[in-house]
Amino acid sequence: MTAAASTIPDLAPARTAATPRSHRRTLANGLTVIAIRRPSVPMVEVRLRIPAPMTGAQSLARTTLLSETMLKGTAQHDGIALEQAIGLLGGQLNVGADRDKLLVGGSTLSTHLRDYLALLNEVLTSAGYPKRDVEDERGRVAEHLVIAASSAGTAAARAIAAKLYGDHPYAHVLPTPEQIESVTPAQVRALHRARVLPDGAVLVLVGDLQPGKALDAAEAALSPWQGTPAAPRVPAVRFDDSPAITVVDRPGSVQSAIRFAMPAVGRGDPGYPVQQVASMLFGGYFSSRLVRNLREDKGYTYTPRSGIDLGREASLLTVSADVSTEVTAAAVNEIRYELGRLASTRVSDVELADARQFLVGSSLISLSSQAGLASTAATLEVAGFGLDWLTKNLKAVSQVTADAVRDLAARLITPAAGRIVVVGDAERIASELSTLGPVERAQ
Amino acid sequence: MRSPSYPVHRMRLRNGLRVVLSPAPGTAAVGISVHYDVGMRSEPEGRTGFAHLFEHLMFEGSENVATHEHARLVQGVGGTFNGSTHPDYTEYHEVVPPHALGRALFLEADRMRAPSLTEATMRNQIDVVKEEIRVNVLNRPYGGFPWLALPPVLFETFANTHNGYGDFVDLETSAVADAREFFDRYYAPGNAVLTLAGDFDLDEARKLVRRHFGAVPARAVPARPDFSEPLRTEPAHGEVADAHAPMPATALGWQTPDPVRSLREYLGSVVLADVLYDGDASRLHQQLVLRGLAMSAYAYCGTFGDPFDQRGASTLTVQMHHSSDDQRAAAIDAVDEILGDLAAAGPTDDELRRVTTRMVAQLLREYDSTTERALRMGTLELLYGKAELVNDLPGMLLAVTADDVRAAAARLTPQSRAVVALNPATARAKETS
Repeated sequence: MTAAASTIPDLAPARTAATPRSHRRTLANGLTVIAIRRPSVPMVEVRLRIPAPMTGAQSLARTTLLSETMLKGTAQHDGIALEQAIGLLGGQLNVGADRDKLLVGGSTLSTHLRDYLALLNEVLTSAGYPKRDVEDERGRVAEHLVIAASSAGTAAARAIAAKLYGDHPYAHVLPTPEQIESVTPAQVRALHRARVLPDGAVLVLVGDLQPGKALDAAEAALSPWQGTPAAPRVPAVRFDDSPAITVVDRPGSVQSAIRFAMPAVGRGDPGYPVQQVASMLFGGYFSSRLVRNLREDKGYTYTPRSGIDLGREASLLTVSADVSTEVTAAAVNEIRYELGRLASTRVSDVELADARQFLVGSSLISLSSQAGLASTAATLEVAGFGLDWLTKNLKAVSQVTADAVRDLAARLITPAAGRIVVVGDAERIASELSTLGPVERAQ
Repeated sequence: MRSPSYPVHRMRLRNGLRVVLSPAPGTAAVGISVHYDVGMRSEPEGRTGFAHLFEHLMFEGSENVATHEHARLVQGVGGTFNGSTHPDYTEYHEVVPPHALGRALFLEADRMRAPSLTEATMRNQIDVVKEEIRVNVLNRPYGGFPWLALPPVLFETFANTHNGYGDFVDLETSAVADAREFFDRYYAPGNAVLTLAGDFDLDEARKLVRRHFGAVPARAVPARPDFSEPLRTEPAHGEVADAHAPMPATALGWQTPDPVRSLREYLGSVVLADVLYDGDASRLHQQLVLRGLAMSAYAYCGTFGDPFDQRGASTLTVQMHHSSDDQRAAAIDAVDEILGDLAAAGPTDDELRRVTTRMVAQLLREYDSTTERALRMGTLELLYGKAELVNDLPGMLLAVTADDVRAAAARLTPQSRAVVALNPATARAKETS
């Protein structure tokens, strides 16, 4: 920094935040329950994570419809009565799914936690999937998928997953409307019986609660939920290594959605904290190289970014930028240049210190709300790591060196490792992209 | 239900800056926001999109902060930052660990006093803003719908009808001189509110605020124009062609009571929006989605879906997606029927209790985030002169009666309504090869 340094105030001494104290109990049905007291507002955040790996495109379609219809009715309430009952608790309850698990949860006024857990149990043990409701919802889900498919981002996410994962279930990120239409209510009910089971699942409660009482309340409410899922067969990932740039034609696009992805290491790998720092300073936050180059120097794009996509079966480092059609090839070239620079030259001490400090500081800030703490605890726990892993990880992040960043980047984050997909107006971008290497058209 | 009780302390500097301080010890994060009383509605003709473009320029350096350094100085201590432009204000915020409070205040004060407005950053940020508009509007199905499409049909004045993201010609012809003039006119300390919420010591914070902001010279504060408009008395209709949308969509909009001058009346509209749409038990879901007249249907108050975000002319919007055009007319009729029924009978007691209990719970959740609380208190102080509304709004929402909601529904007549129909358009014809 130049003359400005003298006027920018020094920092006060930093204080360290205490790790939140978590209380856990494994119930007789195999469900792990974690309770953390954080009485900042009179609410409780609830996160239930149930392992449910996708085993193929049909499994994705069935799971999608299951998550859209789990709240359509139980033995005691129809869907509308259920919604009314949750609302009266100041609550919300949502169901979603990713490649590896079902995500059930929401929040409630803390005074109504018991009633909320009772409703949760009702859904888990007696969701009915009424034939007519499921069939109606199926049609709407198929229509929403048509809308989703019209966005460049969705097209790019689909194309890059297909390119990387080939035959693996991870190749499918959204079902097609046809796949959804072929799912029957009976299949959804069967999937619930096979997968929505407590053994191996994790329930996290964070908020204005007494931990011991909250664990008792969860045990009392959820003990009727019973069952152990069969171990699913998921094939190993074998990454495609085609060097061609895949172009997905989207006629009339005024921008191109550029996506790079490359195999990365997961949380359990000793290189993980190094990879976090490398991704952060490369394109993970506003102070990164990618933002400096593509946005602030060249004005090619609004939000270029990189990130780490963690899956149980495989992890990726991803880079994305939506750029003006005219500069598509130039932007791909700049991203490759920045990847090469990361792998072949040493990052500066300032870049390194900033990225490390941002990772540590932003993690602590994100844990300062009930919702952030609950989501993080649930994600870590179901992945086989506890909240104490987070403390160790942040310590490791704060010790990452420039040499370690270069070594890891040279091994994993290189221009050659980047598989590339571009969604845009093919007539206007394909020939320029072919100056950078072979180009293939996707359907 | 326990009411929130966030402390509100005020100070006002000699240069006119209003300051709100709400300490919450032990939370390990402090949120700082600066709200300037200028937004999209204040843009001059020929300079649409300028409030937002100027927001971008405020991150490009100031007298003692080099270009590109703002992000580094905040993120390098583990903090986060952003800014956003709204119809009636532009806000800037940081959330940092407590030990970096002085630095964050310095950064905000330096750009309040002397932002660097250069030709190079102007050209660069015009390009960036154009890409922002491309990614959020031009290249996206339903992009900017209906916040860009509805106001020109519902309202009459330039302030309320123009494109707040900006016309490309207006953006491209913007010059540094326009930016200087805009800064001089609207970014005076007396036209701003500084808010601190979170982990800080009150006396220490007062000293830091004086140290950093005390030296910002006072400047004239512009008279605030009134953006109110008479209520519409005849229906209006508009159409949008969307090259990327696969299916049609419809937006219905009505002007609401003034959110600031008539807050109690307005709260009836806010609750009405949630009676219409707060989940599967809501009226729109039952009468439109379950009956096959729309794939999805939403209702909300405020241009961007936040009901406490603007003054004067605000809007209640009902937005629907259809799988085919022939659903549209029947869907609009069904909305009128729902509103007619609510205007005659009001919501049921259970329905009202569900909706208001849930709204209050959602406010409490929002307040749990230091960033959101700082922003909310700053907005309420700027628009209402009353940051204490964070504590009062939950009780006021619970006090809304079925009769208030009934009266709000009765105002939403077909005569006072604007309809905008979005239809899929064919993308540029492809040449056959």
